Amino acid sequence: MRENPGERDPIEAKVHEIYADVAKPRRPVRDPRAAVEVLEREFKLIVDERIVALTYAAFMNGRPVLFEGPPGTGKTEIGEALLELWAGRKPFLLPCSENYDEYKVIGDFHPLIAMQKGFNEESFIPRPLLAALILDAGVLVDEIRRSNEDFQNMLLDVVDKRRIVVPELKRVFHARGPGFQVVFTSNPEDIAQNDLSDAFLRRVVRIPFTYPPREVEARIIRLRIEENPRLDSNAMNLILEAISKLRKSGLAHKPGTAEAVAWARMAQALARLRGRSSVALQDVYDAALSVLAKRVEDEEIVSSVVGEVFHIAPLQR
Amino acid sequence: MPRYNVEALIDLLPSLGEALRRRGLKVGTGQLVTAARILHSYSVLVNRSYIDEDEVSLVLASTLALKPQQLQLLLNEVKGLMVSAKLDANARRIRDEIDENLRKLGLKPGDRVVKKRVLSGPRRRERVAAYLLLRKAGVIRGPRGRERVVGEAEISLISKRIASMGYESIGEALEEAPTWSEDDSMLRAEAKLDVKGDLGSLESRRLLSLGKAAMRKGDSRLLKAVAEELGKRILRGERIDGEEVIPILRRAGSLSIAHERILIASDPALVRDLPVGGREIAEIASGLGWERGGELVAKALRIMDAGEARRLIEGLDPSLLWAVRRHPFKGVEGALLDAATKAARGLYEALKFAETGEPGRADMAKDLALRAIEDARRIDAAYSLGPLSSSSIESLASTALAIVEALETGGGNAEHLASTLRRLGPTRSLQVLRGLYARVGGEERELIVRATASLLYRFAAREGLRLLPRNETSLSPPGRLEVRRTIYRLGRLATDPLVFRRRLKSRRISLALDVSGSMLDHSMWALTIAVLFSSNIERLTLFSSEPRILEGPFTATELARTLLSVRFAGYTDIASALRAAAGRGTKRIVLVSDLKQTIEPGDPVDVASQLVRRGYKLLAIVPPGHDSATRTRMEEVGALVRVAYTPREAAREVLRSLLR
Repeated sequence: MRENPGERDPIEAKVHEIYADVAKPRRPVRDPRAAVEVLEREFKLIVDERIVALTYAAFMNGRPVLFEGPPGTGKTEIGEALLELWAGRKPFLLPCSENYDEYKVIGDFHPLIAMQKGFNEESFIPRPLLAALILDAGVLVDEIRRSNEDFQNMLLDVVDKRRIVVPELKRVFHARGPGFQVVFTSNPEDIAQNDLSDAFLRRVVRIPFTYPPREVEARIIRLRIEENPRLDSNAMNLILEAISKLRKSGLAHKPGTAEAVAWARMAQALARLRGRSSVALQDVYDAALSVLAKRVEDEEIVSSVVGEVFHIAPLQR
Repeated sequence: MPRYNVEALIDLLPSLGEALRRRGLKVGTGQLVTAARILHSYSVLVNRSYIDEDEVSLVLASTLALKPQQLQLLLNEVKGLMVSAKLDANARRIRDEIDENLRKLGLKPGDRVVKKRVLSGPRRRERVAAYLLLRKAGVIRGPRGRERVVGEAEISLISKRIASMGYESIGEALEEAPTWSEDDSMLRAEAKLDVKGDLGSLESRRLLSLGKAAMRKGDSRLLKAVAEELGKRILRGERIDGEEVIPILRRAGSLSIAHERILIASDPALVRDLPVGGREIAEIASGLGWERGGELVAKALRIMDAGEARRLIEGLDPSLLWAVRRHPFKGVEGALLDAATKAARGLYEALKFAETGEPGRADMAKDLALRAIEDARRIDAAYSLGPLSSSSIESLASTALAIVEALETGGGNAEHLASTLRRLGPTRSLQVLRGLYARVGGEERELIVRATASLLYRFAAREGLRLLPRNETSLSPPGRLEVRRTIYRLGRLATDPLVFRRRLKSRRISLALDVSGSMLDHSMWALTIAVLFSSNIERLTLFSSEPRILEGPFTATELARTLLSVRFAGYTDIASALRAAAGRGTKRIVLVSDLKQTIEPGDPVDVASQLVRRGYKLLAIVPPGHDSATRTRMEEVGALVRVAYTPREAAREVLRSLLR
């Protein structure tokens, strides 16, 4: 603890020094309805008000939220945006991997300085989780399934108790306000990932994400593409039709809303390159394979589905 | 989409957890706590106290770590629990309500209900309300007098049944089906739950028993309300059992002379129950007319003591004594009364002879009159009993003889007859005149017609009926200056000397007279009204089974001639008569009838309602013994109905309707 109240805590000072730019403050929006509007206007995200309300309800109770759903459904983006709106600060992003551990998220010691000055506050480098706690910002833990169970448990303990213990410094950092919240994202269909333990699932508020309904998806695409060259409703319908067919097909990597947006944007780019003022069906068709087929074995499926939608034979490569 | 109250949902989370665990899902208490907290926060955030079904599944599935395929299971559980939780709560509430009401009555499940005991005592009003509620809900059951509270198990069943119908209280359930039986209305009225509203809907028979109950229990407020309603109905001419109603009215202090008069008029036997003195009875009997008045006098004399009976005789027309059999007088007074009765009976038979022409009646009349004279002569002329003396009895008897003679000889001594008629009074005179009219012919008939007209005008003058059209003077315009009286007033230096005279004109009417058999007793009405208002009658419809229409204008003698020749007989078809009466011209119809339609099909009320809709003003003048149901319906469709007890009242009602 700080011995002298007048003097700034060195760790806090470091956090501010390092992370102030990352976690820029903004006005928090904690009313779900207002948040839905802000999400659409500023973040170009279309989110169901019920999901916002439930996420906020979990935040109010200090519960971590787990966004679970297929890729490309906007989990990460929505999680980030909601954390930002709730905390009034940009959240920290923790992209998980197998060997992620507490040193990488709470803090570690600069080897050189530690050698010189010992393992103390001077040699301690705060990492995002601690920074978020101190700055009262949110944390988005992306793809939690990729992390190991120890890491998950450590995170849950932090979130549960809203404090971080750094034994080396003999210090306990407590959350400063309601802004420190955690959102996990996960894709249960993603192969080669760890299963989440029952204990973990019991302690989070799990919000399932699915592909949005067609009209919502159209709105999202419109929101996220350029104004010009124009994408008419015919082209839009073909895109949506193909996407929905692909999702039902045996594709390994099923296209999400993100892919649909990418496809539309790619078609626009092609149209622009070809000097058109509006997107032609040819542009949409040409963009399909490059955007939608992520693996070689997917190509055939993609080209047959898209061809079927466009009423032409499978693409010849 | 179903909605759930968030608080209720939170309340049932423990049961939900249990239900889910039974189905093999691992739901921890901590999760349930989280779920409760998040539900609460959620409702705060969305600013609603309820949430939709899809929100329930979203929130609960997210906190209880349920897989998508378990969602439907969750929702089913929630639905079931919500419904049964609400049902249970309502059933419990209803059960409490039943217990509370049983407690008010001091009853336990299975008890016998002794109404007298249960409904008396303090807080009676609450008790009655409780009793009614329980009986209506079926908690108290059984035939009257052997009612029981149903058993414990049955009460639970009833509570559940009412709850399962979606009600939250018995009161609510019963309000939706407010079909109170008459018994209930009585009880409610008795308990003053809604006196004014309920009394009007009760049958008179019920009102009477309610009044009796009120007397028994000393409930003066209820008694007063009941008596008021009964009194109103009596005045409206409804037939109500006098023997029962009199004590109620008397106890409530609302028995008026008007009531007494009507009650006695409808049932002379009531004279026993009413505190009316001899003088009042004499008055009532005179108003009732000869037949009924005579019966009343006879009944009164049977029960009265000598003092009261003397007062009765003193104010009585001796001819009303015709029906007397027993009386309290002894000695000379008794002899006087016996003789008078014989004379009156002789007169009665003489008039019946005038009406029917049965020769037996003439013989009887002569016999009785002669015996009366014989008896009277044996009594010392110095003795008298009111108007009764040997000479007055003799004159009564000789009137009877004169009538019989006149009828048998066709006129007889005209002068003698005229003086005889003067003694008889208008009603009976008319009877004689009608009898004569049937027997004489030619010029003598014209004499009788004129005699009839002048008799009626004398009657009008005596009764203060100022006929129309007539002149009226006043000290203010409008009108023409009445020069003579103005000069007179100027001479007297009056402050306001100008006198104006205006002619009061009157409306024209279409008169429909019921001349069926049932109106025979009121034949005088028809004659009186027709003759007195002859100048106002535009159309005359005489009807029994078929209407006979006479178009005006008429003179008094014309109408007298017509009416004298009419036979009161046959069935009544008021409906077609009304249709006939509503011809061209005046839109004002006066119907004189007892409203007893005896010909099917035909509803006078239908016709009346049509006429009223077409702008006709319909006034029905009815005698006391009329059909009160038809009367009420007539009034409902907008006809004006007035009950008259005497020809004078009938004439007054017509006059009132004629005035502008």
